[in-house]
Amino acid sequence: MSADFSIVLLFFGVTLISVTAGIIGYFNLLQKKSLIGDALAHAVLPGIVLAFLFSGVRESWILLIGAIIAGFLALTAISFLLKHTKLKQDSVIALVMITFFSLGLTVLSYVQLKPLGNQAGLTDFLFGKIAALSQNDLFFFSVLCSIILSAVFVTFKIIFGFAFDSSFMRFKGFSGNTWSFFMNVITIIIVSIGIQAVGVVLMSALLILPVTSAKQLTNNRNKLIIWTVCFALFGASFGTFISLYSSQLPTGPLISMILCTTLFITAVLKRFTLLAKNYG
Amino acid sequence: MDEFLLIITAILVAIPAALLGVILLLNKSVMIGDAISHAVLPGIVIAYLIVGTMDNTYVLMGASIAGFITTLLIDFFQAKFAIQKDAAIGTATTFLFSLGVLLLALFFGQNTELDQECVLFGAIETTVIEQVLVGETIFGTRAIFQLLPLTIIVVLFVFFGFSRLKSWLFNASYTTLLGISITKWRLSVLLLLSLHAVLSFESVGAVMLIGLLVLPGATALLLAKNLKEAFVYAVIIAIIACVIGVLVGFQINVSIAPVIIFSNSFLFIGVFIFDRNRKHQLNFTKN
Amino acid sequence: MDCIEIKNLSVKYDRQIALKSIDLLIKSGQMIAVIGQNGSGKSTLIKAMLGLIPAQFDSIHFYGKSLSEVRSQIAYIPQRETIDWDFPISVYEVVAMGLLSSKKWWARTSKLEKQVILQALTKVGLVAEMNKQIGELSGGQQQRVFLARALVQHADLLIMDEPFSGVDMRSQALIFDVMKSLKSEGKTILIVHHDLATVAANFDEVIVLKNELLAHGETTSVFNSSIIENAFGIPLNRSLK
Repeated sequence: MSADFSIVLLFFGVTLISVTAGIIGYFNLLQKKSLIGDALAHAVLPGIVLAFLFSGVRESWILLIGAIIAGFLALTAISFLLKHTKLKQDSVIALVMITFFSLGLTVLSYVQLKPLGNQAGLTDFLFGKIAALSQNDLFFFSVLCSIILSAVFVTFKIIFGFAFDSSFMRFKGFSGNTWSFFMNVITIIIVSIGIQAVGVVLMSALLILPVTSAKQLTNNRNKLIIWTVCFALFGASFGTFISLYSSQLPTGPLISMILCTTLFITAVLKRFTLLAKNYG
Repeated sequence: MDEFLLIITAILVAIPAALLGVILLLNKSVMIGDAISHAVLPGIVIAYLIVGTMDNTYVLMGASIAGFITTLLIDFFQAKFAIQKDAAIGTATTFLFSLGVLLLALFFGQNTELDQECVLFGAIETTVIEQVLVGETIFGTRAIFQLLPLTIIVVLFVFFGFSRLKSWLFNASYTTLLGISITKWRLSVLLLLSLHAVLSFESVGAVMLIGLLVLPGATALLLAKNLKEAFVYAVIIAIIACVIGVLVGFQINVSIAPVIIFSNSFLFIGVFIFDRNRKHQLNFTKN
Repeated sequence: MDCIEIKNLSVKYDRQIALKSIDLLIKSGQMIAVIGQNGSGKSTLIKAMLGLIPAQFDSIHFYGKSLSEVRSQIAYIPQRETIDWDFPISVYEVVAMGLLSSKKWWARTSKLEKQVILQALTKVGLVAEMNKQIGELSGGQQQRVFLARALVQHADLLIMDEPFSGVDMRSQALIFDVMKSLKSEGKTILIVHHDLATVAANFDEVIVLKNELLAHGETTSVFNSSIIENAFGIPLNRSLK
């Protein structure tokens, strides 16, 4: 009975994480910041590893705090470099991302040689292993995701407004700094949670792919988000399902491939309907 | 001796990366370099499946195609699927890399020659095992001899193509007007990147190649006043980082590849601070 | 009544001076054009006035108060290039943005507010296009959407940045009509304008900029050869072609 419960919780947890990530990816796409998810996913690694090192335990909330701190440091570094050097945005993001990531891998490599290291299964952070998530973890993540989703629901019009026309919003009296901080916080949190399910390297898939597929089908604000949620739901549940039956296959690439396939199918469908319209 | 060999190996990987990286930085195509280094993974796995060994030229060629496929995919996504540029790059990278990791997990679960650790960290440390001997003297390792041709090719490419590269990177439209084919130059760079990515695989792994591409060039650009300086400084910085990386990595007994990358970052930060100080001094003396 | 009062406003970008010591006093109920060649600081003046870019000034008052106190009385329409026309937003949703209030941002749109939105759409003639994504509209229609957004704010002061660039004649005429009707309600309209040919017929006052204030006054007196030649470098009759 408890085995059933834990499977249900697993599905629920991973799906909720994916849906939340998909929605945040929706906003990232609107702000044309699709690569920031990838950058953050790589950048939080040292935060997680160091948190583990200092605390000695693999507790989700401790690792999460480490990840969040690292995430903010990375974002700060990116803004700083953009402001104070002539380097362009893609260069700065790549630079900060790989610096943090290599620091993370260095410490990870060091940790793995110590007796504690092996037990933690920290390499699972890189490609994701949902089987490694405990019930407590899933419960904790589900709660956080629910909070994020509620926050997004309540503030939807405003963050959407900012994505579309930020100077208008600032003119209307909304603080640009507060709202971008808000977006950064929720992005960092979902990335820190998400990499525990799908791993660092493919976190960006959860963020980018659902909304990109949705955009093939519609350019209406509400329909876009509904489709995004649908695709995220589908990818996550199907991926989790397969992942449970094959312990060999890491979850990250699995969900990623499913989402990619969905994207290809929707894109091809769209081209076909366009062609049909032209000839019809 | 081992450290020396490793340093040479690392330098042979880092020099072409630094040079090609400067080009990517100036062309604002840094993420494409990242995409290619991820994309060669499925290429290598598939080639390995077909041929059975990592040492074959066919593996090299087959996997290099991955680089082209990446750019084709990205362009395709942008044009036919109407996906914006950064999302297109992200999609292509993710798709190819997931494919690679899945194939790796399916066929090589516990295989030692090609495994997840290698993908991430590279295994430069193991290259010292296969040494090339002439009589009693060690001439180098297999890896060194494998990397050497490409390093030479990239250096020659940058040296002889310098004026064209300069023209392309600073003013693409003008260059086309002059009748010079930018596409050829772009494709050549992509080809070199793909070959480099495949060859460097066992040294630094897929995930960190981007570090060798971006960091030395970025540091160089902070200091360089022209393109020649950019290339030269990038190479010098890359070499220094390799030396530091290997020696430190050896000392504290961690995986060398990330330490090399991080040494690059360290140099970047150092140069940045030094440069800011210098600018502050200049402003100070002006006023 | 003093609508806008600016004392000693300057704006610097890196080392360049975009605006130097601007003093302005604009009375309500007028339609004012801000003219000057490219780079003369027209958009900069607007953005600085509205706190959208950093600036140095002694004081900036709207209706005798600071910007934060009278935000709800001011409507601003930015330049069209800053908008992403592919954005998944409909005509209706853009206009609805005008009703967002930073004080009660969690509130849902009330029935009354929906009425207001529809009224504005009717006034600019875009009710039929209400649910269309903004990219599907023509240039003139796109400009009218933003005008509608300004209307729902029931602002007393409308500030627009080059509202007529890329707009067809019919939309231009429509927009001028709406503006004139607003003026007759006592509102003030300040426009960064590029088309000198339409200045004389439509605007009461003109502000001429060349990174500093060259002139400000009634169109009939200010819009003359010597000032225009100074601002644009070519004589008035040539600049009207």
